Amino acid sequence: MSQERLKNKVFLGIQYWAIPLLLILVASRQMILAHTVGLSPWHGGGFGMFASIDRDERRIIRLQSTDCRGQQTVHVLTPELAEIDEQTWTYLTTVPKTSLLQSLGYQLLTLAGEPTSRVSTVSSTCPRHLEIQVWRLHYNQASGQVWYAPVTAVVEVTL
Amino acid sequence: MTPAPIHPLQQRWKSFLIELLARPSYLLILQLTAILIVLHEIDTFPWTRLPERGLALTMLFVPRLMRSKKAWVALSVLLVMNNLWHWAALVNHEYLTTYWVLVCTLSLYASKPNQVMAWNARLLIGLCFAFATIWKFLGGEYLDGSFLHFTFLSDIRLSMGATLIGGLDGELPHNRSLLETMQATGEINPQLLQTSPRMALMSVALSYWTIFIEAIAALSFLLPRPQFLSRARYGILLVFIFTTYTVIPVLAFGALLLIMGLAECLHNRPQWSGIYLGTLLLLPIWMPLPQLLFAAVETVLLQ
Repeated sequence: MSQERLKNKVFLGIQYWAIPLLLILVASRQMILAHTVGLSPWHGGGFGMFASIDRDERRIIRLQSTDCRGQQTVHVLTPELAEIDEQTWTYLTTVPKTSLLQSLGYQLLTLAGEPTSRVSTVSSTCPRHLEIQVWRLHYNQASGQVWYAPVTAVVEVTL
Repeated sequence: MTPAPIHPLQQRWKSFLIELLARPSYLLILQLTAILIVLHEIDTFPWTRLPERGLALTMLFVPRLMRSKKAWVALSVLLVMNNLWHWAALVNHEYLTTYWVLVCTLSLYASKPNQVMAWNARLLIGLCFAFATIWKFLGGEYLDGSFLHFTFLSDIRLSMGATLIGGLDGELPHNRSLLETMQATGEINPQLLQTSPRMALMSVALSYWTIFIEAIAALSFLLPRPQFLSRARYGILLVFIFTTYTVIPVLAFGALLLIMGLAECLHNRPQWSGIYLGTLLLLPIWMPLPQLLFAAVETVLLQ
């Protein structure tokens, strides 16, 4: 086969198959991420919208802080409280990777040391240890009950 | 037998569609795609979308640019960059829009642009429905009706369905308030949502209808046989669009499916082109109409 004919065949292959294959690759990646790191089915190009009630907007990040006296308090984190922008918050709730939650934990512990920070209200007395976990909503059609269950394992951060 | 007289307005509409369809097929599809890029979620208008909107708008006003390979490559690059940057935040049809713009760009390099568009449109529509169907099995919240039941009880966009199909009214604000409280306080223990047996039953029925129509759409677009199914794909896609988007109006997704469907039938089944183009052009009227009528009736009844 001449080089020109081979080039034409490759180009035809790209025109007819490249984009459908790209769709398959992206959608397969989304399915894998949804079942490994807890990616919300609504995002990531896997066509999981309207298949699960697990939208990132409904997810919560629960924070358990332990102060110097060993007292534990549970908080629901918000972008305002964590002092992070909406885009980062959306990314965190949609793709709750352990490494991202750890970074968030360190950031919170560092910020908590600053008296002017809003995070200091989470744990005003020398917070040394935080446990962060992302939760999602579940619904049971038979019982009519709605509840939250973890999407991720507990991520522990200590300073 | 003499044919029924055609209303002048209907005649003008028909002539308008014929005039549009007389253009080269690929050019019409390129123009409609550019319009979609400009108008897509115009109500939110994030500044990150400004370059692609600006370029698409310029292409609409400068005919030379509409056929320009460089302009379409630039538009593709902008969309791909946006997808990569916001990959976790974007929803399905935004991915599909990018794929479709890539197809438009590739078709300009082809000797048979209409054929490239039609081939890719068929596969993209089929694959999108195939993955949507797979997710409904994998998610584990669809087959027992849980997903739709919860969505009817909580999503404001489905209030019309919840009231008309499920006979619910006062329960909906209670449910939304309960969910907001759970989210704000971090209440993780089970709470009871208010519903009706009719809503539960209809949720199961509608879940199976959705799985059926999506699976059938996937098979009809992806498989060449059986022929009767393959031939019925244009009708099946329209049934999906009408039954889904009149209940949950997602304008951009509906418009994109219609543009891709049009690209496909312009090449393979031109007799459907007029219906697809007409449905697309009238989409801003028919899609939100049921919701608007419902809201108007509700307001009148409340007064």
